[in-house]
Order: sequence, then C-alpha cells, then structure tokens
Amino acid sequence: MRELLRQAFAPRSSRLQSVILPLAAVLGALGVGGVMIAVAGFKPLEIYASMLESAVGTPQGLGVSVTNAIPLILAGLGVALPFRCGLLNIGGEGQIYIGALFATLVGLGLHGLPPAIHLPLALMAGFIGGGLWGAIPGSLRAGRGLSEIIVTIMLNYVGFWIVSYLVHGPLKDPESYGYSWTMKVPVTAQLPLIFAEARINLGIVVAFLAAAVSHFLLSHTVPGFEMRAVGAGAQTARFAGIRVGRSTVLSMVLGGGLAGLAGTAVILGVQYRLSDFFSSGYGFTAIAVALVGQTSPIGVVFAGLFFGGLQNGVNSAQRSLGIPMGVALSLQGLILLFMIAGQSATLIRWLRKRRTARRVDSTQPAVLLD
Amino acid sequence: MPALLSMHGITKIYPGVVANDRVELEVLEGEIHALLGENGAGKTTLVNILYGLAAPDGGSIRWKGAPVRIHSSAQAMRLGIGMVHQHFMLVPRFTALQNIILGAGSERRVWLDLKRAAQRVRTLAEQYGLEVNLEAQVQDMDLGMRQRLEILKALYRGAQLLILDEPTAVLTPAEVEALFEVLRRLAAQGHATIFISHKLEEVLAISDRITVLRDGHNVATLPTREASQPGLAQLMVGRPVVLEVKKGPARPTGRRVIEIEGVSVEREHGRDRLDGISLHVEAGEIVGVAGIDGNGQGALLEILCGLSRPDRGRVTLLGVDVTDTSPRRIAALNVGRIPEDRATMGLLPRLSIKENLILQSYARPPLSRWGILRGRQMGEFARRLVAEFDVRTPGVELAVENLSGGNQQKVILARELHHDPEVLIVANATRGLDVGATEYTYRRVLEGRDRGAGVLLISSDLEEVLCLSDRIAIMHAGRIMGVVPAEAADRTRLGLMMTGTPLSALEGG
Repeated sequence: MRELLRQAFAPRSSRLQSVILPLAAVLGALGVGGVMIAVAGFKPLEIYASMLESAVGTPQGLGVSVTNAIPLILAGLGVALPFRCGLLNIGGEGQIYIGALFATLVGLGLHGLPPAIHLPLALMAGFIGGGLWGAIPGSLRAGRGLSEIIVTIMLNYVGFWIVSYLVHGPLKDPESYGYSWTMKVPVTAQLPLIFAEARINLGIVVAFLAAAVSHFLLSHTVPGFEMRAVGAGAQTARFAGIRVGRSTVLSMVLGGGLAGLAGTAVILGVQYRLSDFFSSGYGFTAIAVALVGQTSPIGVVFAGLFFGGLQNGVNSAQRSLGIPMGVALSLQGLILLFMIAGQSATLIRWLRKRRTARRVDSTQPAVLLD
Repeated sequence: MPALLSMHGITKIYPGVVANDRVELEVLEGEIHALLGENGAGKTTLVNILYGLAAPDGGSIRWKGAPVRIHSSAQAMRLGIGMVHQHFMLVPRFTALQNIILGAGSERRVWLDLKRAAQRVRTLAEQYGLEVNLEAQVQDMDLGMRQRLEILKALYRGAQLLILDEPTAVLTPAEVEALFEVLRRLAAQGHATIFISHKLEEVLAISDRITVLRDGHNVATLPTREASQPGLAQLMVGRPVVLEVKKGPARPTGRRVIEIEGVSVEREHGRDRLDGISLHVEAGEIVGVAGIDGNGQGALLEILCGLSRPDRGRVTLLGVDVTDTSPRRIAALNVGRIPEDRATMGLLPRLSIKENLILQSYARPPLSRWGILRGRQMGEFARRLVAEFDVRTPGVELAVENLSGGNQQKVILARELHHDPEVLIVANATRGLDVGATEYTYRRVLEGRDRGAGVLLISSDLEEVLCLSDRIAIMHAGRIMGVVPAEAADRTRLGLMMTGTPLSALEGG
C-alpha cells in the first residue's frame, strides 16, 4: 500500500502532468458521481450547478467555502510535509485535537493581554501541541523503527479521548448545562474576521502563510532538502551523511504542528470553544487534500480550497435539494479513487514503455515475440 | 536426447539497462544445466521470463518442441515448469502438507481431500529421497528442509523442469550434499534442472552442462567435463572488449590513507563474511580487490562506508579511526565513494541532477548560508560539474532517473571527485555500463590516483582490476588469498586464488 500511495502522492515531474492529473480525476469523479445522483433520482447537472452557485456564487457562500478550507489546508500540509520525507502521517486527527487543546488552554489561561500578543501565543501553543503529538511517532520511527502509520492511527484515539475527558470533566464550562465544551476563549485570543460580509477570518492568512513557509522550507533550506533527500532514498541519504532519524523526527514535528494549527484555527476562528466533536474528520480529509495537491504546499492550498468548496456545495445541495449526504461523501471518495487509479500501474507502465522503446530503438532492433 | 526447453534470442530491457541481450538457453531432458554468472549478469531475469514473472521484449521459447508464450507462473506450472526462489515462498504457520496443497488443490475441487493428497506427497517424497516432516509447521523447519519442501511442492504440481535460484546460498555444506543427491535422483528419472549459481565448485560438482552469462549476454555453453574453475572464472568476469587505458606508473607516497587491520565480520550461514582481513592503501596507488561476488567484498564495503561495524579489527581512513563510526563522519572526511548500487546508494533517482550533485556540499558555503540554500550558486555549481564531467542532459533540473546508466554514473563521479578526495573507494563502478562510460570511469579514477588519492577498487570484474590496479588483493570466502603487484599478476594464478588457493600455496608449489 505504501508504494501505491507513494506513486500517487509523488510530486509529478512535469508541470502539465501535475495539473492535468488532478483535474482529470475531479472530472472523472464528477462524471461517475453524476450517474450516482441520477440513479438516486436527481438531475446531476442541476445539482452541480446549485453546488457551484452555493460554493462560490455569493460572498457568504464563498466565505463558508474559504472557512472550510482553512483547517483542510493546514492539516493537508501536515500530511504533505512528512510525506516528502517518506512518512505517512495518518495522525492528523489526533494532532488536531491536541493542538486545539493547547491553544484553548493558552486562550483561556491568560488574561489581560492585548490581541497582538495573546493570539500569536495561542497559535504557537496549538502548533507546539500538535508538534508534540507528531514527535511521538516520529521518534518511535527514527529510534525503534516502528511504523509511523500504525502509531499515528493509534494516537488519534489517545488524542481524541484526552480531549473528550477534559471537556466532560475538568475543562467543562460550568454554565453550559447540556453541552460538554469549554468556556469561550476571550476575544483577545480569537482570530478576527477580515472580511466581515463574507465572514472570513484571519485563519486563511495563517493557512496561506503556513503553505508559503512550508514551500520555502522544502525547496530552499538545508533541513528541507535533507527531508526530501530522505524521502527520495533513505539509504542514499544516510550514505551521503544525512542524519535520517533527525529528518524523520523534524518532519513529523512540523507535520503534527501544522495539523495542530488546523485544530487551533477552527477553535480560535469559528467555534471559540473546545469540544470533542469540533473536528469533522479534518485529519482524514487532509490525506485526500494532500493527495490531490500532489504533496506540494502550493498544490495543497488549491486542493484545500477545492475540498472546502465541495463540502460547502454538497451541504447546501443537501439542505436545499435534499440529495443524500452519502452522495457528498462518495464524491470525495471517487476523486481519491480516480487520483490513485490515474497513477496506477497501467498508466505508468505505458509511459515508461514509450520512453524505453524510444531509448532502445536507436541501439538495436528488438525481435518481438511472434 | 531431445531438447525439453529452448529459449532463443531472449531480450529484456529495463529502463536504462539491457538485462538480457539475445540470450540462448537449451535444456535437455534429465539434464542438470547450470546457469552461471555474476550478480547482474541476467540469470534471474532469464528464469523469471521462463517462469512467466517477466515479459520478454524479444525472443521465443519452445517447450517440448512447441512454441509457447508464458504469461504467468500459473501457466508455467501447468506446462510443467517449477521454480524454487532464493527466498522461499512458504506460509510459516502452515504445515508442510498445507503449504504443498495450497493453491494446488486436490482432485475433488471444493473439499480438500487431505488424506489422498498426503498419500501422493509421501509417495513423491520417497521416490526422490526428499525428507520432509509433513506435519511440522514451516516456521519450525531449518532452511534445508524448507528447500526440500519447495522442491516437493514443485514436483507435486507436476514439474518436469525445476528452476533453482541460488539454492545453496542458505545451506550448510552437509545440506548442499543432500540437495545434490536429490538433484541426481531427479535427473535419473528424467527431470531437468536449471541450477543458478555463481559458485564454481558447486557448478562443476553437480551440472552436466554450463551456460555462462555476462552483462546480459551468452558467453559460452559447454559440457561440464570440459570446464575448469579458472576457465569458468575468466568467462564470468572477463570482458569482451579490451579497454585501452593509458596508465602511467604509480607514485605511492608511503602515507597510508586506508588501513584495515584484522577485520572480521560473522554472518549467519557464512555468507559474505570477513575473516581477519588486513590491507592498506597508500596515497597515490590503486589497490584492487578481486574475487567472485559474495566472498566478503560487500561486507568490506559496508564497513568502509560506516554502514556496518566489524566484530573484530580496526579500520583507519586518513589517520582517523572509523571502526565505530557513522556514515556521516566518513562523509565528512575527504573521501570519495562510488558505490556499487547506483539507484539505492549513489543517487536519489526522483530528484534532479542538481540536487544529486549538491548532495555532499549543500550544507556549506557557497551553496548555502545560515541554513538557506542559494539557488544561483547551486545552479552554477551543478552546471559547472555537468560540463566538466560531460553529463549529457538537456538541463540540471531533470530528474536523474531519466538519464542513461552511463550519465547517472557521471553524476556520481562528478559529485564524488570534484573536490579532489584523498581517498577514493570504488565498488563495481562499471557494472551495467557500456564501453564508453566504462572507459570514462577508468580515466577519472586514474586521474584521481595521479593527483595523489589512494584508491581502493573493489570489483568482481577481473579485467577491470587488472586494468587499473597497482597492487591486487584476491578475496575468497572472507579472506585475502594474497596481494600481488599488478605487473606480476597472471590470470591463471589469479583465477586459482579467486577459487580458494592461497598465494603461499602457489609459490610453494
């Protein structure tokens, strides 16, 4: 499985391929999804038109799409970065919860600070919390060779239940009778709205900045190059003197931190209270976002915006036209399937054969079978 | 005797390498046919094609006289071709019997008729002297029994031709003898065997005929009684083209840049171990390490690169004790290393030529400052090396996997040689390269020596060692059989030493 994902995730060598492939996957998924919608008794084109309209047609709709995209971009970066170092971070969900917890603690715990100090502190706390949660699988992988896939999956449960315990117990807002959530973080730690009409908060700037920094880190810094070298060939990297373990831990800390920021952005920007149901599976959708974004930070931004819009469109279509939620989830799944299928052996083999054939032609005639 | 199998003009091309180039193989009924060649000579590719695991790019196969195309191993089995892989394909927690009938079924399709299956297996086992405990779980068996089980599995499926890929690699000497006894009985009853090996003594002991492959080509097919160990060694490692390399006399300075003292590595099953190796290289000379693959060269290389540690002994590079060190410390010394396996140790295939070229220098000025890579300087650096080392490429941003083998090698050479290292460790550097790229590599290595580097050249290609070395050390079974000056080296004597005769014995007799 790892090899398949590796092929599917690997940044494409040609720019054309890196744009065409995700687009073709999306179109293919919409096509098959259309058939499903038709079978369910709806008119596909009508549904798609309505989805598009509600996702980008109005300032409010666009605002919801962008707000959806914030945690998806951040958590998507949290998958993409470790992946470039050869690691699969399935632990976004746990990192999101722990990051959100740290941010909430700093948000609630400090008083009387101006926003210019309180908010950055809370964001940093969220990054640190997620980073710590990523450091565990990173160091177990580097030191003991444990599969980061298994460890991150398991830590999702641990992270979730820690938060669940806290919001039902010690951190529960005493004045909220029915709900198990914390008190509201003070306004000094909240991400303010930057476009009031569309209700877009500062989190989108945080997400764009995180993508820009991730891109710079990977492409233009020594630790980023080392991470990519390890991802491209751990043995060669070790042979060349790169400390593979250090790169492994670093990439998981950064990945976890970014996922932690995703949770933080949801709490500080949208919900203001930590609960144990605030993440609607962002950590898992993030894997799809990273995949469609070809694990490049810039690609992840576009993929995150796309998925944010898709979610918004589907939700609206469900509300106004009554299409089943299953269709929405199926669309996401289909896009992923098409991405992976597009990378699958047949296509790659076909491309490779063409290349080798060209190389061999000049040297000697090959006797073909039969 | 009629030909059971004939493979004609088999060609298989992998990206960047021609694994089989118009290879011919003919196996007669009741024959034990040895397929001999170095690692990478194309033996495994050839039998994978026969067993339906790889599709040939050219050529034809005839089985019992009729042309066949084999698409899958299931089809190969139906034809009567069985294969025992180097790594056994058994389910550890199943019993021997369960493993045998796994996928083969019994006569009744849905329900397993274990009793009848067991009876058939027992008859087969007795017939060929294959001693296997059918009730035991595979995980409790020693490797010899697992191998007999694999053979039994193939026979149960009706194999008339058995392919054994390096069957002795995992066996003790006594088990090897038992295996040979089985093979002889199989042959006596008309079964044919393709016996893949690079161990000459075993090939001579068991086979009827020998086909030698080298670099994907047929070198010779000859009856075993006409073959000798030194003769076969030369066929395996020699080169068809004598390369013209101009080589001046060495000027060793007397300063020992590599010192290996009494280094031993213990290994399970005695493969690729080292047994008290001592060797030194002075600045300004090339010391060649010759020998047939698998006689300890790999272990020696790993130790010199910091990838593994010896159990005993001491290794010094440029006066620094590197016995217990990391690849990182060695990479930090002024050492150039040209590894054996370009794809997994030398290069990062998916990254660009530029990124592969900076792999040893990215962390220092001028290529980076305060942890930030400097794009312009990196580009200039890469373009300079590409020009200087004549890498044929449209640009430095191209992924290195798109280059031909020869150009990939030039990328490694450029990276490892541009800073004039004082020590150069070269391992089978020309494997899979064409003559032009080979010659280029030789010239660069010699230039390194003439600038004063001490070169350790590990190669299983005897011609290569003879062509480049100033002194030659010959390895066999983890020991150095002797060290001779290149002028005094003579192929016959080297061949004898490569197969286990120490220099002292040659000089005594």
